[in-house]
Amino acid sequence: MASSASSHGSINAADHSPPPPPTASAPVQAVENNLLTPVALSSVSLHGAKNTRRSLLDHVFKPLVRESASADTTFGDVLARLSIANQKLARYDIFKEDSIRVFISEALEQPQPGLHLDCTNLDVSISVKEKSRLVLSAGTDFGNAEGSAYTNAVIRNILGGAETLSVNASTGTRTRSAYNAVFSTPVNGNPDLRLGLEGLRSSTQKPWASHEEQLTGGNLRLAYLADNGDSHALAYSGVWRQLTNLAATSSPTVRADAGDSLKSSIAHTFTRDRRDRAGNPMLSQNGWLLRTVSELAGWGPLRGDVAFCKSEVEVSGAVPVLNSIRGGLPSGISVGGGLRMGVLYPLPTGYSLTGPAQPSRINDRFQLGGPTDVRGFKQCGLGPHDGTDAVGGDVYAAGSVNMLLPLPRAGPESPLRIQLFTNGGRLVALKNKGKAGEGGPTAALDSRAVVNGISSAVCELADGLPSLAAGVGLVYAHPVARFELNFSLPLVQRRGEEARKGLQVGVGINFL
Amino acid sequence: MSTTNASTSTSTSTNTATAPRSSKPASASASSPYSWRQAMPVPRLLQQLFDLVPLATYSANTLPARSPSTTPDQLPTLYVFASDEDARFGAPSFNPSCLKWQTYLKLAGVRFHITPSTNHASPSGALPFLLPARSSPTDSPAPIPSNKLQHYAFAQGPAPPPELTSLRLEAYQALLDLPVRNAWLQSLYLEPAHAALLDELYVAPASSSGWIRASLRAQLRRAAEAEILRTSSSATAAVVDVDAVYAAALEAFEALAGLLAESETGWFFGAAQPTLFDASVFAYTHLMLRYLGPGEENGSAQAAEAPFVPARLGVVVGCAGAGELERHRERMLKRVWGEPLVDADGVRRSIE
Amino acid sequence: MLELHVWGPAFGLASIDAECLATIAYFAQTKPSADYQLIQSSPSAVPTHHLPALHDTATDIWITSYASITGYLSSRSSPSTSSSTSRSHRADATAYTAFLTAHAAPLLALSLYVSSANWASATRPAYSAILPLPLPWTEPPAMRAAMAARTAHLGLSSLDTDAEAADKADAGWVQVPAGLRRAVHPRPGVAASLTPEQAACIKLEGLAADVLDVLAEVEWDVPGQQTLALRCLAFAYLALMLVPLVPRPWLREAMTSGRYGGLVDFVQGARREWFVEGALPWMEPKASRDVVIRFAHGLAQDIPIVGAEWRRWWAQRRRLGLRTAADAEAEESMTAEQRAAENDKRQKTSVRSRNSDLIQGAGLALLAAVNAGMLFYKSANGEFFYRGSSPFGELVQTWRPPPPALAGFGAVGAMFSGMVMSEVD
Repeated sequence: MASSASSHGSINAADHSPPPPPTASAPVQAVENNLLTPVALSSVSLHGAKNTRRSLLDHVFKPLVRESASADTTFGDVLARLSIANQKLARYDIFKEDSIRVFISEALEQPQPGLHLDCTNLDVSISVKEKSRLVLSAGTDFGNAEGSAYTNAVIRNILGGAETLSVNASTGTRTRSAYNAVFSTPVNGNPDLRLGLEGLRSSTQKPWASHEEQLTGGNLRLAYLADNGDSHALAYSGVWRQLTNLAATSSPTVRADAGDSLKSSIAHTFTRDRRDRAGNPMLSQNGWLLRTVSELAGWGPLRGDVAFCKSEVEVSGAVPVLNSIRGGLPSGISVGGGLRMGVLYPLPTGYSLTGPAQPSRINDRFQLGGPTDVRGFKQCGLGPHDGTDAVGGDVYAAGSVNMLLPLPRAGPESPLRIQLFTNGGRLVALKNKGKAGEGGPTAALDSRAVVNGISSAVCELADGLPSLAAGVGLVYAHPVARFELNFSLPLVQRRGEEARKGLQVGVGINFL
Repeated sequence: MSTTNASTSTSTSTNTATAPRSSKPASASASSPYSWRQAMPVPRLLQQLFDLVPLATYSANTLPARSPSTTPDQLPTLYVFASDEDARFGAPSFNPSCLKWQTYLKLAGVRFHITPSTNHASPSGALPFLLPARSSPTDSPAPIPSNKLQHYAFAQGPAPPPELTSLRLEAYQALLDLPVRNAWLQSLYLEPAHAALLDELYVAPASSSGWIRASLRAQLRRAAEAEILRTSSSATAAVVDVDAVYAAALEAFEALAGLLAESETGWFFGAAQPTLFDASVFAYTHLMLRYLGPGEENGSAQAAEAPFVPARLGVVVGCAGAGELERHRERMLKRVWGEPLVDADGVRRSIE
Repeated sequence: MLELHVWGPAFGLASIDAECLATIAYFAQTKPSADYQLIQSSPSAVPTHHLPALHDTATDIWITSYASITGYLSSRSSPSTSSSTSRSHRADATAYTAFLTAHAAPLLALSLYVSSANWASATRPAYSAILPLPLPWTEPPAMRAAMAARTAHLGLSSLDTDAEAADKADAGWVQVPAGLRRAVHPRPGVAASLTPEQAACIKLEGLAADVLDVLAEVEWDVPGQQTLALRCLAFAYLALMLVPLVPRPWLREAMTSGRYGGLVDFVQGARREWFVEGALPWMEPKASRDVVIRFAHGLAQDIPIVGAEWRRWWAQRRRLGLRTAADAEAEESMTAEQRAAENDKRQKTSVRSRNSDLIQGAGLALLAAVNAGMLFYKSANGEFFYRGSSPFGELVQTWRPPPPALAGFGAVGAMFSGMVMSEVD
């Protein structure tokens, strides 16, 4: 008994999966033999957290010592609780990932009065190394259909409570300039519940609608990561949008929306990600993803210049097939699909639900098309077009079916795949049926017209075939981003929609 | 809209789909990753394949509700600063530059709609500009900036006003560009007494949000002050010499009244018809008399006896040349906006 | 005594600045040289922040800008000269004055200030000669920036090649052998070998013609035809276009091309007749102590964000104490009681505004200090400062379990519990 406790068990808390190597089997054996031994926790000490406030760490260790004080605590319980505490420590993102080490030893000092004398008293020491508090980085980024260069400064653990301040400046092919600063802090010491405050200013070119959008604003965001991997984010944002720098050929629709507007909105994002990302995070061939985004802008106390309710759902998934040919190992072949839908419902400003509502503006409407969503169409090539400008729509649905095949030589382990796909979508705008050549851009719709307009727009989604494209291509799943080179042909389209025949390059993180 | 009348593909429709969008802004095509393809010849087999698709082409999507519809009477649209209601009736704009060209086009007999807009909508960064009528819903005609509007009026207007070629006109034009304009900027943008008016005309239409309005107001003020400093002789001064600005305007209006008194026709430079110069003068005198006139507390009858406040530019205009400019403004109003204003629904209203 | 503060002489003319030159010309013809003094100055030296500035020492009135000064002088002198001109002449004078300010001034600014070659070899040296050290480092660049802003609407900033030259210097750190250079830059077109002035030649000629055509139509030589104030102003602008010997003399060439012989004759005649050698009553510039302060203010204006605000604040503050002609007039027309009340009110308001001004100034100074401080930390030891501050945690942090509830041991336990608790915490 004494011998087993005095032998120092070392648990690497950061990764919990790998079994210890065979050479370490003797202590492991000792640990396993004593899982049911009654023990008492005499002290927990944390070494190396010199910039971390005790009030934060209390949230982790106070429950640990309180729960381990009861008489029926076994060694196994302590180990389990230590593991939970260490995972929590790791999720604060202020300690180096592989630096968290736990040492358990028998208490040397006299047990405190009142402690159980009939069981082994343990001292636990945890050693951590704090991450560098100031990190400066610069590099290049690939977003959806855009490349950019950035500089970023992160100050971690800024007040000793796992608070993070991140300041970012970037410029890119489409984003002329963007600056933002985010301060985020765990709420109540919980690393899975973070509150963030962000200020941002950016200026982005929108060549598909020949203008530039400048944003200035901020948001307050509460993000929660549930134990089962679901994530919720609730954000309030207030953004001053300015549509400016119109091209000489900008259409009247874009000209009518040029100028300033304030969007004041509350948005909720829910993500349930059940994709298997163990192999390659950019190439999941098993599992599914559900994401919903709901946004309420301008209604009631939110005020602002635009009022609407916007809702989007995205479902995607993949099933591996023919795993039997490699004896249960992944064959690298999968069939996948995705579906995205969204509705923008104009609301009256103020508290009324039946008052007249302003139709949506171009910077609030959905855009569809491009190498990362409906392939085979140009960026924002689907939906209503005024002249050459994609002016967006209020209701959309898009879907895709694809099959991934490993390359003959490279095999299923490589990040390369051949892709066969067909995808399509519909993007429809809310029409103002009542207007007959008069009214101008500021004519409001009454609530009946909005209901009729939205329902007829939804019906129109199913009116005729959706705009469709099919093709074949090569996928390269780099850990940072996914690259696609596709050869595609449009099968069905609307007049004015901009299809892309032949090769198309797609770089991005989130593909349909 | 009916999408049921699907038409099978034709080669012409596919060609339009593959054609590069030459009308896009230059920056967009330069950054496009696809531009290399246009240089490469497409093999014949591939071309045949391309010609096959799309297999079906439906009719175009209809435009969103906020899109300005193609006007039934096919008239060009002049984008100006104006309230929604003024735009509906075609009433005078409250911006001197917009009003000048609105007046001139009306003098030339051009028929057009006006639509309220902001500087952001303009290709040159300043209003007004004219968008010619569209021939089809997908056609986007090139806008005509204000410096080409005179040419447009000559080409399109049934009765373009005579063009004056006097070099002396250039000197008098400078009066409008410099002292009169600076006094307008100073009085409307920088005088605290006119803050509410500035808000009503330029700030409030942009956004309902208080902090955007405050920011825009500050931007407008700073721009107005910089503009006065830039154009006046005191380029190195850090603050505007307000008294000098108003004194210069007073002199300028006297000079304009003197010039007008020389003419026997009632229009500047003895022209038989009002010209662009009349429109330019009218744009300022009308707006100053309408918006910056004597305050409500002392009616126009006692304007002469009321204490002289230089910021009340309407009073300055009214006094200039013993009412010479005010009478000119009345003549212009009668000539250009003589008939009652009527909107598309046949509702009538007065000009003020 | 009238003190006239003006920019100093340059290019063989009485002043480098058009309005100052016009004012000097006006004084030279209307006042005997014993009645006034010319003081060589710069905007930062006068409380009006702008030259020309007239200081009437008898009444302590400051008047700035050409139009105000001539207006003030003609209102003081006998009314015969001003009323002799007809209404139409006065209207013309107002119009042409506005025209000169609106169009001749930007044209002159293009030639003397925006054009890099002319600025570097003629205008800047001329400023250096008339400003006491160290002011040539701060004031001429500010002057040039102001002049460039005046010409911004003409779209000819290409004449300012300083930025371009810097680019070339950057590109030059890799030495390309002459043989390869042709391959790198295949055919240096005609455009590359042109000076910016040549490239913009047609536009510049057009601009010059637009201005000079209008001016050439006026008869300047006949004294009774135009008001004196207008003639002086026209002379000043035309002289500064014609006289300076600059390396890119497009404006001078435009004037002397033959079409504007009348204007050239007018300038040369006026120089001969109006300015007698040594007749201008220049004061010996006093060795003033405030040069250092002026220089510091010049530097402060170059601080990125605060500078412009600082400039405004300083200018406004210095203007507060000024007595203007309007003030003097108002005082004259007031009765004694009114005057007393007015004085009282003025004192109160000025104290109040001075107070608010002081607060504003203090705020600005604080902002500047913070700015400077941030720069210092960033450049020197900001990070070390942050790291050096006392840590939030400790090297070893220990948690112990709370003692088990002693209540379980009965009354004795309950008696102990208070003691133990206090020990542990």
